[in-house]
Amino acid sequence: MTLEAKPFDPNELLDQQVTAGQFQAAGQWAMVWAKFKKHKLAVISLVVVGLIYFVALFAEFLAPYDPGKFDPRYTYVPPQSIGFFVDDGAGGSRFQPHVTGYKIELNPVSFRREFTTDPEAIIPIGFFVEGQPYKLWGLFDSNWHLIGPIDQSQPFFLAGGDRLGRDLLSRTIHGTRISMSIGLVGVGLSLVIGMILGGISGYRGGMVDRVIQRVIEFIRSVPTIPLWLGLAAAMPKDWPPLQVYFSILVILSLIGWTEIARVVRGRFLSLRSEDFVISARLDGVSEFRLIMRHMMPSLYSHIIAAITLAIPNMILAETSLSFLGLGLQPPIVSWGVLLQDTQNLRAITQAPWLFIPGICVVIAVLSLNFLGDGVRDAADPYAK
Amino acid sequence: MLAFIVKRVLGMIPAMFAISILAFTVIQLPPGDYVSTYAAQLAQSGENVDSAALNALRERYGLGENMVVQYTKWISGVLRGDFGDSFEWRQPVTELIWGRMGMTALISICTLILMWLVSLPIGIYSAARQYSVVDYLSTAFAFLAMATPNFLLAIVLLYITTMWFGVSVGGLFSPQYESAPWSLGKLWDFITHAWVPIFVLGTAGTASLIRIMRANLLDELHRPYVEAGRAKGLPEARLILSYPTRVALNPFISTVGWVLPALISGELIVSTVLNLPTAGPLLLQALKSQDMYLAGAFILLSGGLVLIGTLISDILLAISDPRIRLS
Amino acid sequence: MQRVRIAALAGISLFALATSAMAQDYKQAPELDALVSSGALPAVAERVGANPRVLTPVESVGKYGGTFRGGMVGGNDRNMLFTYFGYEGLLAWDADWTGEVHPNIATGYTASADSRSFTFTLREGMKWSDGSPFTADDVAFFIEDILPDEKLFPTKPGWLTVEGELPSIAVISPTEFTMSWSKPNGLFILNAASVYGVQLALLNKAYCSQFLPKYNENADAEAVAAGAAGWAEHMVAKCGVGIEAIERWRNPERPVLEAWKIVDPYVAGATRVTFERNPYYWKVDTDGNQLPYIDDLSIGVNAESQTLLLSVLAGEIDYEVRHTTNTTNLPVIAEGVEQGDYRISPRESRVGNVMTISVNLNSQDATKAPIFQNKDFRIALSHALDRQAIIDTIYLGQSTPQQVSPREGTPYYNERLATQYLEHDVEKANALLDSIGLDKRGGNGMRLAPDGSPLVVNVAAVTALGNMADAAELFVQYWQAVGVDARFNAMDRTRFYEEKTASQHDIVVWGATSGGIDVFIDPRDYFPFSTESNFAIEWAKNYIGDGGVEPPDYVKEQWALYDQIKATSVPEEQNELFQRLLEITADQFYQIGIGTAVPLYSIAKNNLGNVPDGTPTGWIHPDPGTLNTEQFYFK
Repeated sequence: MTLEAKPFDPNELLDQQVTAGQFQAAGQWAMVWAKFKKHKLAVISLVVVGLIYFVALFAEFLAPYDPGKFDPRYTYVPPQSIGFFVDDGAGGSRFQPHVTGYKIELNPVSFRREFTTDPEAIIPIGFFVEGQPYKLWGLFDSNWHLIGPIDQSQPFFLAGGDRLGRDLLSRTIHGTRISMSIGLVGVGLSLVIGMILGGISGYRGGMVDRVIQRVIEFIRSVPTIPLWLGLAAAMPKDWPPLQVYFSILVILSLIGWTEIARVVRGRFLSLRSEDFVISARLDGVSEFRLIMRHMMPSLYSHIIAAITLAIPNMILAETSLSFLGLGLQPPIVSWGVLLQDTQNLRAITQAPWLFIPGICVVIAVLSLNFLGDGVRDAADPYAK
Repeated sequence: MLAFIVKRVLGMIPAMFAISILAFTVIQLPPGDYVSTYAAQLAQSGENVDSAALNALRERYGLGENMVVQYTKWISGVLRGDFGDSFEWRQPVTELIWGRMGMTALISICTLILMWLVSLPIGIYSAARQYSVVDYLSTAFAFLAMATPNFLLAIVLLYITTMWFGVSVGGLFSPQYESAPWSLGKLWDFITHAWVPIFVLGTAGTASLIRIMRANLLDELHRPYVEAGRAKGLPEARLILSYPTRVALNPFISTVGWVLPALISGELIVSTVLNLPTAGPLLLQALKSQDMYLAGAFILLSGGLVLIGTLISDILLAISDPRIRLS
Repeated sequence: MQRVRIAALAGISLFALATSAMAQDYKQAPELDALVSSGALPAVAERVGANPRVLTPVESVGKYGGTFRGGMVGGNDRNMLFTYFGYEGLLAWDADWTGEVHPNIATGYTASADSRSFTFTLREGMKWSDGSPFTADDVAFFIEDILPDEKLFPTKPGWLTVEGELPSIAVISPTEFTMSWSKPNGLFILNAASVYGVQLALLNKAYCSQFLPKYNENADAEAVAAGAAGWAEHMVAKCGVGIEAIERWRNPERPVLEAWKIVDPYVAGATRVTFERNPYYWKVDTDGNQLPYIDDLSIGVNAESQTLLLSVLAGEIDYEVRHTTNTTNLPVIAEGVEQGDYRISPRESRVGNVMTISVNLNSQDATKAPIFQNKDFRIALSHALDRQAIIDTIYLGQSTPQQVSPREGTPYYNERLATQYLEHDVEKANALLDSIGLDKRGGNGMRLAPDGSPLVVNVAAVTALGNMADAAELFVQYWQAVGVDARFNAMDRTRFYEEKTASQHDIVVWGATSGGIDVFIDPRDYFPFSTESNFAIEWAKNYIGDGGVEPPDYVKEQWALYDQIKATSVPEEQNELFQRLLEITADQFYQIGIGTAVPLYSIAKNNLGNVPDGTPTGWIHPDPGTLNTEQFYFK
C-alpha cells in the first residue's frame, strides 16, 4: 500500500471494485427506477401521464380544429366513428380512412336536430392534413393537423359537438393544456412555499416550529370551498384571461402547500437525529450545505410522491371552481369549463358525449395517483 | 384528561378569531358591496336607480365605513349572539342559519359515521387478505372514487334516481313531510332522500380512509409481536382485531381532523346540485351577492364545526392512545 | 275618443252590475261550506260583495278542488309569486295583450280631457281577505301616507310622477276617487293596467297604518321591540310596501285582495311556500261560482333550475313558464311529454329583439369614444355578423334577422329601423372600417386606432344568462375576422351592472325589452331613457336628472317627443309621435340587433283546464297573471 498525496475518495475505490467484478453498483436513481419498474400499474400510469402532457404540449397540432370554431348545422351532433375500408363499387373494398356524414332533420316539435348516419356520405380523412392555421406555442406558424377531413368543409366530430356545434375533441385537447398545466404550476408554487416553511419548521424546531404548525393546522381546518369562493369572487372579472388563470393558481396553491410542508417537516424532524446528519454537523459542514447536500436528497422521493398526489387535487379543485362559474371563464377552455356544459338535463339525457372531459379528469387523476403511489413505494429506502 | 381537554379548548379560541378575520376579509375582498348587487337587481326590473338613494342605503347599512370598524362591530355583535342582518332576505341572520347549519352538520356527521362503518372493516380485510379479490376491488373502487369530481356524480345520480326509480326529486324531504314534526314516516322519508348526498359525499372520503386503514394495518401486521401472537396459537381473526388494529386505529381517528372540512366543503357543491336545505346553496348565493353578514356567519360556523370536529377527534385519540394523554 | 271609451266602460260596468244582480245565488267551494254553516264565515253573497267581477272562463266553467304545484328557483324569486298569483290592479290587460284595458278592482274610469285627472269607480261591498271592506281610503292611504315618505319610497316610481310631482287624491265616496296632477300624465292608464299598477291597491289601511307613526305614536317603539331597526323597516317587514318586495309574501296576517293568501311564508331558508283560498275573493265566473276553483297552492323552492326541470319531467309541476321553458331545455321537455303527462303550449314573446349589442357612445376612453360614436363603425360591426348562422346555432333557427325595433304587426313597427344593415357583408364591413381611419393593421393583423395604438374592444356579457354569453363568443369571432380586436369578457351580473353604470364598458350584450305596447312604458332601447339604455348611460343620467353628460340635439329632440307622448292619452297621437321618435333612432342606429324574438312556450299538466294557448309573455304584461290563474281548475 502506497501513501498517496490526495485524500481518500471512497467512490474511486468503489469504481475499482466494480470494474474488478467484486460488486455491482448502481446509483440511487438507478435503484429507484429498478424498483419502480416492478410496479406494473405505475409504469403504465407513467406512460399515460406522459401521453397526457404530450397532448397538452402539442395541443394545436393534435386538435383537428380551433376550439372556438362552431358550425350551426351540427349542434349536439353525436360522435362519428372512423372506418377504414370503403366499397370500391366493384364488390370489393379498398383502404380509405373515413368518417360517415349525417342526414340532418329538424324535429318541428322538439326542435331537436336529429342526426342519422348517411352511409352514402363518405368523408375521407387523412393524417397531417392542412387545416386551420395556428401558432404553435404562440411562436411557430403552421397549419398542419395530425388528423382531419381532407375537405375542411365536411363535418369531422370524433367526440361529438357541443351546443354551439363546436368540436368537442378539439376543445378537450386544448383544455388538457390548461388543466394539466394548472396542476403542474400550482403544485410547483406549493412546493416552493411548502419546502421553505416545512424545512424551517422541521430543522429549527422550538417556537418557530410551533407557530408554523399552528398556521398549518389553521389553514387545514378552514373549509376550502368557502375560501376559494370568496377569493374567486373577489377577482375583478375584467382581468385578461391569463391574469385570471394565474390568480386562480395562486389561490389554489395557497391552500395546497400545507401537505408538502407537513411531509418535509416530518422528514426533517426524523432526519435531524440520524447519524449521518449528526456526523456531518460535527464535521463542521455549514448549515446550508447540510440541508441542501445531506438532508434534501433523502427527501426527494417523498417530495416527488407528494407532488404527484397533489397535482390531481389541484386539477379537481380547478374543475370544481370552474364548474361553479368562479374559476376560469369562457373563452378559456379547461376541463372544468367544459364540464359546466354537463350541468343540465339536456346533456345527460341527449348528449352524453359531453361527459368526455369528465372521463379525462378521472383518467388523469387516476394515473397521477397510481404514479405517485408507485414513486412513493419505489423511492422509500426504508420500505421492503 | 380534563386538563388536556381544557387546554385544547383554549387553543381553539385564537383559531376561531383567526377564522373570523379571514371570513370577514374574504367577504370584503370583491369590489363593490351589497348595495351594488341590490342596484343591479333593481335596474333589471326596470326601476330607475338614483345614486343618491344608493349612497343613503350604504350609510344605513354602514357599508361605507372603514374595514376595521366594520369588523369590530360585527364581531362584538357575534359574541352577543347577534350575527347581523341579511341584506338580501331582510331578516336577521340567526333566523336563517341555524336550521341550515343543523342540516349541514347532520348530513356531514351521518356521512362521517357511515364512512367509518364502511371503511374500517373493508380496510382491515384488505390488509389481512392482501392481494385478494376484495383487496383489488376496493383499491380499484378507492382510486376511481377519488378521481371523480363529486358534483358530476351528484348530477348523474340525481337523474338516475328520478327517471328510473321515480323518487321525488332533490331536497331532503317529500313535500308532505317537509314542515311536519319528526316521526317514523319522516325518518324513513329522510333516509330515502338523504342516501344520495351521503353516498356522493362519502365515496371519495371512504376510499381514502380504506387506503389509510389498509396501509397502517399493513405496517403493523409485519411487526414481530404479531408473529409472536400467531406462534402462540391465537386465532387469526382475534389476533388481528385485538392488537394491530388498535394501533392502526390511531392515525385513522386523527383523520377526522381533515375529513370534516373536506365534507363540509364538498357538501357545498353537492347540495347546490341536489337542492338540499343545507348551508351550501344559501352560502353560495350570499357570496355571489356579497350579502356579507350571512356569508360571514356561515364561514364562521363552518370553521367552528370543523374545530369542534378536530377537538372530538383529539379527545377520541387521547382516549384510545395513552401516550397522548400522558404527553 | 275619451267619451266613447267612458261610454264603453260604463256600458260594461252596467252590464256587469246587471248580470251580478241576476246571479244573486252564488256558489262557493265545498271546503268553505262547514265554515259558513258554523258561522265562522258569512254567506258567499256577502263575501263577494254587491258587484263582483264576472270572469268568463277560457274553456268552461270549472270544478272546485285541488292543490296547484309550482316551483321557484334561486334565492329571491318573489316575482314568480307576483306574476303568477299577485297581479290584481285597478285595471287589467287581457291575455292576448290587445292593449285593451279591462276593469278589475275598479269597475271603470274616466279621464279628463287634458289627461290630468282620472276618476275610478270601485266595487260595492268588496272585501279584503280578512273580511274588512276595501274602499277608496285604502288607495288614499297609499297615495297620501306611503308614497311621499322618503324612507318607504326613496325613489318614486316614474309612472306616478309628472316632472317630479306626485299625484294628489280626492276621495269622493267609499267607491269613487280621483287622482290628479298639475300636468298631463298620458301614459297613466297604460301603467295602471300593467304590472306596475298593482301598487295602487296593495296596502290595507286598517292593518298597515298601525306601523306608521302618523297613526300610531308608538310605532317606532313597537318596531324596535319587535326586533326591527325602526318603524320603516318594521312596516316593510310586515306589509311589503313595494310590489316586488319579498316581504309581500312573508306575513300571513296581512290582508290581501288576491285569490289565495299565504300560509307558509316565503322566508329565507324556506323550502316550500303554501297558500290557501281567500274566502273573500271578489270574482265569480259566469255561473256564479266564487273563484278561485283551486283550493291551495304549494310552491317549492329550488336552488337551481335543473332540479325544477326534473320536477317538471316527473310530472310534479302543474304550470311552468318562468325558468325551465327555454330553447335549451325544449328537446328534453318535448321528450318527456308522455311520461310527465303535460303539454307544451307555445307562446309569443313581444320583446324588440333576441338581444341588443350596445356600443358605448359615452365611452370615457379618449381614443375609443370618437370611434364608437362614428355610426359607420357600428354599421361595419353589424355587417360583419352572419345573423342566420348565429340564429341557427343558438336559437335553432327560430328567428329572422332584424335590428332592435318594435315588432312587426304592431302599430309601432318601423321598417327602416328594423331592416337596415342586416346583410352579412364582410367586404362592406372592411371597406367601412378602412374608411373611418382604422385602415392600419398591427403585427397581429388587427386594426390599429388612428393614432397607431392597438385597438382592443372588450365585449361583456353575463354568463348566468346563457345565450348571451354564447352569442358574445360568436360575435367576437366575426369581428376578429374583419380585423377588430374584440375580446370576450364573461362577467357576473353585479360586476356587469357596476361597469356599465360607470360607463366603463366598450360593448355590452344584453336582452331587449319592449316591442309591443310597452314601448311607451319602457322605451330604453330606442333613446337614452334610463340607466338600462346601455348605449348611452351618461346621456340617460342627464335625462333623469342624476348628473351625466349633456347629449347632442337629436337626443334632446327625442326627449321632447317622449314628453309630448306622456302628455296625451290619445293612442293615435302617441303612435304618430313615437314614429317620429323612431325615425331619429333609425337615423342614429344606436344598437345592433340580431333577430326577432324567439317564441317561448309554457308547460301545463294535461289535467289543468282553462289555460289559454299562444298568448304573449312578458313582464310589463305580467305573464301568467294576465291568464287569470284564478280560473285554472283541475279536470
